[in-house]
Amino acid sequence: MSYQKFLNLFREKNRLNATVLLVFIALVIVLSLSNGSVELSSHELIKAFIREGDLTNQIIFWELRLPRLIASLLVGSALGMSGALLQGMLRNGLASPYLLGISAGSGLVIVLLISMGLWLSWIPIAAWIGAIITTLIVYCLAKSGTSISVERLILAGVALSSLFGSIQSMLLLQTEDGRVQAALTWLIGSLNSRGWTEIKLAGPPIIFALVVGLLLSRQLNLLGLGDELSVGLGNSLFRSRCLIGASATLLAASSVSVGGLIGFVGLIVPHAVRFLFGTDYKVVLPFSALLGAFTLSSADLIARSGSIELPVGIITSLLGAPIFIVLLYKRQKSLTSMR
Amino acid sequence: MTLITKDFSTGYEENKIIKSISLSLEKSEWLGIVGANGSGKSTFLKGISRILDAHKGNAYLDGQDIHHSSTKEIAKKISVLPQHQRSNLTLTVYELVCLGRSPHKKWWELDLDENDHIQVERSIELTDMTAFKDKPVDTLSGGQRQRAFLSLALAQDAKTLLLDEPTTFLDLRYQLQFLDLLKKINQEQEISIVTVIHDLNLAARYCDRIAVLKDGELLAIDKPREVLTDELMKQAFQVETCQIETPIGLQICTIKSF
Repeated sequence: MSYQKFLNLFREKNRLNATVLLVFIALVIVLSLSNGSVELSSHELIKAFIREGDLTNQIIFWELRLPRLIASLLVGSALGMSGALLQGMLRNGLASPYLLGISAGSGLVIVLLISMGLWLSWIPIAAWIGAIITTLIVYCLAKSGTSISVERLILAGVALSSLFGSIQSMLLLQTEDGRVQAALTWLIGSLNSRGWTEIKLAGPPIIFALVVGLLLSRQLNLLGLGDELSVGLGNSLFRSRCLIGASATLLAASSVSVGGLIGFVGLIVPHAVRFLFGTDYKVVLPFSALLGAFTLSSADLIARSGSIELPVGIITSLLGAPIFIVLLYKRQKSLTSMR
Repeated sequence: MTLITKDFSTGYEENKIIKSISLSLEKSEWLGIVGANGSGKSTFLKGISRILDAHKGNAYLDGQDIHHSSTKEIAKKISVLPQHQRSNLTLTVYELVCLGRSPHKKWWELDLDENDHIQVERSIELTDMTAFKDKPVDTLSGGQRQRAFLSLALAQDAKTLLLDEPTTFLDLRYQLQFLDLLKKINQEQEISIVTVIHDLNLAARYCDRIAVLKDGELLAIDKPREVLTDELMKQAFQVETCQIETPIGLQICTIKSF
C-alpha cells in the first residue's frame, strides 16, 4: 500500500470516527436543550430558538439551558485536551489537568473568598488567577538553568498541592456551614446556573488555547521519543514544555473558572482516545477535545436528570472510575493477546 | 562537514565528566569512541550533540559553535541516535520517519510538503525498510526497529550522524548487517559518523579512526592499528590483550583482566 493510500485510509477512518462522535454530541445537545424540569418538545424548542412562542420557554432556552450546555462543551473540551497535553508532555498517564497545582491554587482562592464572604461574584476570575499563579510557581520551582525537569514539575506540583490543600482544609474547618457547602460545590465541580457571563470570560481563552494546543501535536510526538532523540530532532525541550504547559494551564484554569474542579474528565478522556483511536497526537488532541465535550455534556445531562440535581463533578467521578477500570482491563487483555 | 572540539568539557550540571577533549572529525570519516564503563563516551556524544551544555571549551561544526546555535539549526546538520530508542507512540515506520523532517519545519507547520515526502521515502529506501513502512514501529523486531530509527535520523538530511552503542541490543547477524548498512551510508552519502562502541573488534573493522577515552580524558586518537595496542588497551581497560591479523583485518583477543 502506498503511503498516500495509507494516509487517505487513516484520514478516512478518523473522519468517520469524528463524524460518529459529532453525531453523539449533537444528540446530547438536543437532549440537554429539551430535557429538564420543564420538558420542551422539538416544536417548542425551535420556537424558543427563533425567539417566538412562550416567553418562559424562551428564557429556559436562552438563559438557562443553552449557556449551561455551551459551558459544558467548552469546559469538557478544555479538560480533555489539557489532560492530553500534560500526559504527553510529562509522559505520565497519571497526569491530569490539575497536576501542576491548578486545583490547589484555584481551590485555595475559592475557599479563601467564600470563607471570608468577600467578592463572591469575582470567584471565577479569582480562581483563574489563583490557578495561573500557582502553575507559574510550579514552573519556577522546576526550572533549572535553561531546562525544565519533568520530575521536578510533577514533584513541585504535588508539594504545592499538599501545602495549599492543608491551608484550604484549615480555612474550611473555620468556615460556617452554609459557606462550606458553597465552597464544596466549587471544589467538586458544578455547572449549575452557569450563564453567559462565565462563557464570555472563559470562552475566548479556551478557544485560543484549543487552537494553539492542536498545533503542538508534532512537539508532543517528538517528546514521546524521549528527551535525547527529541533534542536531536531540533525540538527545544524548554520551549515546547513552556508552550504545552501554558496551553494546558490556560485550558484548565479557564475551565475551573466556569465549572470548578471537575475531576476525572481530563484524566480519563485522553486514555480513552488513545485506546480507541491510537497514540499519534495529531489524532489524540482533537479527539480528546471532542470526547471531553461529549463526556461532560452527557454527565451534566445525567446530573440534572434525577429528582435532585447533583454537581456534575460527582457524576464524572462516579461514572469515570468504572469506565476507566473497564478500559484498563480491555487494554491489558489486548496487550496480552498481542504477545 | 567538519566537527571540531577544542578543550571541550561537559557533564551533568556541576558534575564535569568530560575534561578538555580536543579532536576533529573529517568529512565522510567514521570515528569510533571506545573506553571502559564510566569513561565518558556517551557523555561526550551528548555534549557534541548539544543535549548537554559545554562546561568549558567549544565544539564547532564547520566553524559554527554548536552550543551557541539554535537546537533546530544544529539538528539540520547533526542527527543523533541514542542508545535507547523508546517510543510510547504507535506510529508506523513512515509516520516515525516523517518526524525526521521536524528540523526543517516551523513549530506550527504540521503538514509535510512534497520535498519532505521525497526525503522520507529516500531514507526508508536507504535503510531497506520500504517493505515495512506501513507497519507500526512497536511490532518490528530489534534489527528492523533499529533501521527504522536510522531512517528517522537520515530523514533529517544531516551530514553528521552520531550513534550511541547502536549494536548493543542486536544479535551477531543484525550487528553486522547494521554496521554494513552504516558503512554504505557513510561511503555513498558521504555522511560523517561518530559511534560509541563497546566491541573493539567491530570498531577495528568498521571505523576509520578510534578515540580511546579514560576517566573523561582522551587517551589516544588514531587509526585502529595504532590505537588498539596492548599498552593502550591495558591503560584504558585494565586488561591484557593481543593483536591478531585475520582475513578481515586486525582483531583483538582479550587474555586476562588485571
